[in-house]
Amino acid sequence: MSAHSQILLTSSEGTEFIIDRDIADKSMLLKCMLEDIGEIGQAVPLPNVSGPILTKVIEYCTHHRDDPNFLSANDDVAAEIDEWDLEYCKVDQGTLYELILAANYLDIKPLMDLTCKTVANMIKAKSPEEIRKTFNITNDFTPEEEDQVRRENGKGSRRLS
Amino acid sequence: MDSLPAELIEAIGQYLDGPSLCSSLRVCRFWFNALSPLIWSYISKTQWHRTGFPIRQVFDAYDDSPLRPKLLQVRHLEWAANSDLKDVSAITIRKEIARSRLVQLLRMAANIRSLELQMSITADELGLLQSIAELRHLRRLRIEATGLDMFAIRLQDMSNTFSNLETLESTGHWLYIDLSSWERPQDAPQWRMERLSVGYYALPILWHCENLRELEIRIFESFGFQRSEKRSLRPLQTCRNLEVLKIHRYSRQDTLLDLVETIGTLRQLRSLSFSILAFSFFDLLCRPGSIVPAENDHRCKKRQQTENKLEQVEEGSGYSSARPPDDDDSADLPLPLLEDLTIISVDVGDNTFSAIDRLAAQFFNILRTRPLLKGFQIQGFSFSPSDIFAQPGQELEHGWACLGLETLKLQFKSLDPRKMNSREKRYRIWQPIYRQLGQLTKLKSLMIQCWSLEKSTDVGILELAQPISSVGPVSGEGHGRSSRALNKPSTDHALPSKLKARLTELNSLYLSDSKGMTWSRTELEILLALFPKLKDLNLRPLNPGNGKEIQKWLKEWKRTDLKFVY
Repeated sequence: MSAHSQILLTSSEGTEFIIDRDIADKSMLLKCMLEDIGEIGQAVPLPNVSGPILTKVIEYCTHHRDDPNFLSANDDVAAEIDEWDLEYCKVDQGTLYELILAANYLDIKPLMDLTCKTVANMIKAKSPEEIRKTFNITNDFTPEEEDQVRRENGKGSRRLS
Repeated sequence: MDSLPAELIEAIGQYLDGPSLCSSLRVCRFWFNALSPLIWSYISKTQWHRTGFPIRQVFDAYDDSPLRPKLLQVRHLEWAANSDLKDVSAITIRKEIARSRLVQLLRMAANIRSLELQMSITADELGLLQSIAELRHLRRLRIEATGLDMFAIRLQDMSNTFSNLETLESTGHWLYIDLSSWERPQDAPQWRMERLSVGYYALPILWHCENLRELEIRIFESFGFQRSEKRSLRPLQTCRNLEVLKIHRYSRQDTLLDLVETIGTLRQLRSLSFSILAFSFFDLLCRPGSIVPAENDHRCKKRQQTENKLEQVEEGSGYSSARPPDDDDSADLPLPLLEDLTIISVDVGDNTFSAIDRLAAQFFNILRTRPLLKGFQIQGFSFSPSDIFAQPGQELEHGWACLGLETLKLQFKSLDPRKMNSREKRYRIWQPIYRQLGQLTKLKSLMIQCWSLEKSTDVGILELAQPISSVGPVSGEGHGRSSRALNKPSTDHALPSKLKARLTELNSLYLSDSKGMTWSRTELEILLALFPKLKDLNLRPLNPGNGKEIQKWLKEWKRTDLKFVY
């Protein structure tokens, strides 16, 4: 009954999570690890992922556990984000970044796509100043550099549109 | 957002459309650096300004981030599909992409002047060459083939593709002209080609390249070819106007003879560079009439007489000017305009004295007959500096004519320390070297590698300076000097006040020993006094701690302008 076997994960602060094997398999990192070393019955430590974020990640993987297109659907980068995913990403920016980092670390490509796309949507159709405001970034270009970057990329922005 | 690493910002950037990406580039430095690989100007602007064509935009499907490269590539091509590419002047593709997509892209960007492809070429690529042929404005093509497959192409099939190019760079072995084209075609149409970099098996292209100015040939034998296949370097004879020639790894004797016959007739050649495996090639290349004049020519004797006279004149005037080229001789000199010569990896093979003597004679022959030489670089591990620097008493036969040298790079095998056990012996080896170097008053850059480097004052380093008070030049003091210099106590001052720096133009110095060096404060002081305009100093390897010490001294002397590397 390997499909229903369970895996023990430990988040960075030591909280333990018990998840089904097929959910853990959504993460390429865990999947490869489990395939390589087998289920050893011990907790898998995830020092880079905090408890709340791991909860969110597990929520995502659980929702998509029976999704047949889990790995292939996202080749189409222009595809609309579905409603559940949209709702899922309504979190504060800090959480969103941590989700990106966790998705990258755990190697969950669809979650990576979703979160990156969400951030990209926050950037779309904004001026540089608006982007800075949205993400609370200080402009560290000197006026000359800014001028140069504008000159070199301003034209491109019209052409690429 | 600054907490995200650059590669994740780049990953997000892949989901941005063109305008958003351009806005994002202007947000802050960190974003700019992370996102600029996505839109990346590849070809340096200076290069293109020279051809008078302004860069509008360089489109580039390049990415070395480990994050989903496949997606990035698709993304770029989608931008391309939705964009107007008529203004694009240069395209660089550094990823494997489907031929159909590439052909589609080239069709859209019909006005490009430069195309660079890096891909594995695996089978017949005539379709690709055909679509490149349709790019009427293309002037520069670079194909970096990663695969090892070769397929014979008929020269006439390439005519369309190559006839308008000014520059063709092909690396790898894909370009391979079938044997039928190795004979000179009748009335070969001439192409625009000015710069060409190809493998040996593409050489028949040269039949169409009368206007060629720069040529680089890479020769790798036994790459799936039979030795019996009859090829040669004869196509090189077409390129009478060649100014720059680079040959890498030469060893085939039969084709070599073609080169030896041809090379002396390249009257416009300014720069020659060859890297070779065996000394026998160098030996052959130095046959009279190839790159050096005939040895037993009566003119040589005449030249020596002239030099005698010049020597006498110069004794009064010091080493101020380079010896003027002798008009009579230069008319008959092979490669009369040669300014830049690079010889890499001369391997004597047999280390017999006769072989090394012959080699030394060739070097002296080159250096003696090349008054216009501005750059000379030699890398070889079978001989030592005494094979190239005139020994005492032989200055006349072995003196260098190229006193206008600006760049000199020497890489030798290390001297045998057992032969350097006394100060007198060290002096005997080093004094002629420093004396010859001291005459190169135009020298701007000097690199010496792999010696048992001697740098204290009692081995003749002061030959690099000239005495202010005495009338004659240092070397003009003649014989008997060595014993006098030996008895002279080494001085503690940076440069004795009666000496004047002679290599006043030198701004870059690279000294490298085979073992760790330690520079004393006095030695460094002398060094800086000898080369007043020094900007770059590279000493390596230094013994532990010495580098820090030197940095401290430089600070103390307020020479922070000096770029010091160790």
